[in-house]
Amino acid sequence: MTHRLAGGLLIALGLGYTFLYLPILLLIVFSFNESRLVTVWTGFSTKWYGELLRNERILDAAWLSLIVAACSATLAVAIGTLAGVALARYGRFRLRWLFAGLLAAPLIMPEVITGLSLLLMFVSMDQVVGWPASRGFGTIVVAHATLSTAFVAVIVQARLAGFDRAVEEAAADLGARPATVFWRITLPLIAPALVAGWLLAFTLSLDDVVIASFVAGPGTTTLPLVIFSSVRLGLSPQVNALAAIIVLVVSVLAAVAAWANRGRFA
Amino acid sequence: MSTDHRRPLLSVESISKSFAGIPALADVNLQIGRGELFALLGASGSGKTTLLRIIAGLERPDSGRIRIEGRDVTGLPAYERPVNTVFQSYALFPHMTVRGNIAFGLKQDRLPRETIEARVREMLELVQMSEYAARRPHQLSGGQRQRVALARSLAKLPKLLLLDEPMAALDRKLREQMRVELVTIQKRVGITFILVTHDQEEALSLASRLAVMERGRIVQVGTPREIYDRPASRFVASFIGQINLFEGRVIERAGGMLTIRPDDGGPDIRATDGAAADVGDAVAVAVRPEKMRVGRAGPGANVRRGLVRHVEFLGESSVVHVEIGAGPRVRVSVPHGNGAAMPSTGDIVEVSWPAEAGVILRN
Ligand SMILES: Nc1ncnc2c1ncn2[C@@H]1O[C@H](COP(=O)(O)OP(=O)(O)O)[C@@H](O)[C@H]1O
Ligand SMILES: [Mg+2]
Repeated sequence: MTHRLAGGLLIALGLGYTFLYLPILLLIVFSFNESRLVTVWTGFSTKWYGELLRNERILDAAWLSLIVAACSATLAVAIGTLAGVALARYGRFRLRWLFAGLLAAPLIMPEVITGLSLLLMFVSMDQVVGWPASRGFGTIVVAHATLSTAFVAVIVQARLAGFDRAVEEAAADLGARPATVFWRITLPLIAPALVAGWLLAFTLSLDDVVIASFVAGPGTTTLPLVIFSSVRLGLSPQVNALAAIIVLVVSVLAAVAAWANRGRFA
Repeated sequence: MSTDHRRPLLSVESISKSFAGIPALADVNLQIGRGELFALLGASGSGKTTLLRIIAGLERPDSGRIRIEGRDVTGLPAYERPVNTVFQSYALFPHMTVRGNIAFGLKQDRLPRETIEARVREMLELVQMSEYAARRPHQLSGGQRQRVALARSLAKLPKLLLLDEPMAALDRKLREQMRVELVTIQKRVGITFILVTHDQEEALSLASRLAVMERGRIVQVGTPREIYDRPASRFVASFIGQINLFEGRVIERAGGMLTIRPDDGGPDIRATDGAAADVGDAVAVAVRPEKMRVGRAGPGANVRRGLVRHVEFLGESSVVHVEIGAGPRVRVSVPHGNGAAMPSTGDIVEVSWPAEAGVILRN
């Protein structure tokens, strides 16, 4: 292995990163554009940020989206962790392959189908058990958790497969009951995977349009839905400002995740 | 620390265990007394770790019982057994400090804080790791990790401490130093140790008694001296130290003395009767290199003539490799410095050993 990248590779890498980040950079630049026309630069201004902060509709949607993302990510981590532990630790139970397959299905299922089937389920559940009476916050959280549980389970399973089983056995050998082993040993050791899984679930929920458009109710419009519908009426610099803020928030979250994960358990 | 065989601390009774139909342990029986430093010696894959895990409660036997102080613990989970283990990989908790690792087992017993702190301090001193109490395992060297693993499993003062190849990951010099330390620590705490190893030198130098394992069975149990001087089978004889084997057939048995006609056509060999072999049995006479000498011994000794092929210098002694007719190559250990002349390659020499130096092996 040479530790110097070959020239061609370096160019390819540069192009790749440009392709990935140039649109985001443009978006941030244009969020400071003075003009109402999104693509014509007339001067620097922060007025769209000011307008954004006075836009009740967007602020409400942003707040709702954050809460939905946090709730569904937490739910997904709880369920996904249990599923990941079951898959990685309880080796060969009956129908394991079916369990593993069903768990992974949402990873490859087209979102339109996931959204449609969830909608059907909520409607029939309402008829049978009387919940959910109306679609809204609860149904979006459940729908997003359904999607991201699979991602969390896969991440947790990979982390568990990578660590020495003997550590758990050592804890049992020292007198720790199975529940204590889980809370004091297994959980702390997979914590980085839980953080990563939570953040992934959070972002999946935050940027979902397709599933939300099926299961959201009239009073509960998430931020992506608002952006999507307002963009259809014409691009607005306010949306650029909003997007820039989201990029900032997501970057901070990613930095936090990287920091929490920094080679502590080498 | 007296060893009491009549009321053993640990009894392993007819333990068998298979993995996917392949036997890893077959009808293992073992009794270990209080205060022993007992070694389980065997080649890799002979079932040592499996036996240790069954004693610890980390693996369930297919059949058989484990008793500790007479109490049947076969059905008890690991966390309820008065047994602690030093794992081969050490298995330290990476997210806890050295202090946290050592305190972990004590916390499970809900001991008062002061007791835990005092015990942790004591254990840190015992393994000379007091300055490292606040470190994480990944900040320690291999030898230091091993000390922490030892302290962690000793902290609960178990009735029995199991050590799975504790020195395997250490370099030679450190290994020899830890060997001495381990014996010292064992004497100080007075806890029964079972030490698994594939290193015969380690087993012989450390253990008060040892068991030799071969393919899931215990083939001999005894003190290092007994096993070295009177191996029970060809396997044990060749697994432990160097040994010369003469294959042959018993032709006479009289007055506690056997006469064996070797298959290589040489003169008959006389050996004292240890293994109750009968006339006509195929046996091997096993003789340690240091029990043989170059030159003629006293009357009644066995003598063979041969050609010196190679002289191997080993510091305090040399090993002379002698080719005997069509027979096997014989190794004779010759100490330096007692005036005896050292033969050189190409010499024709006589090799001799007294009748009582030969061990009769029947299998
Ligand atoms: N968990 C397991 N699954 C399948 N086979 C195993 C398992 N543990 C041990 N074995 C097998 O049992 C035999 C004994 O292994 P082990 O007790 O680890 O030997 P040792 O410690 O003496 O090297 C080996 O053949 C090994 O492959
Ligand atoms: Mg082993």
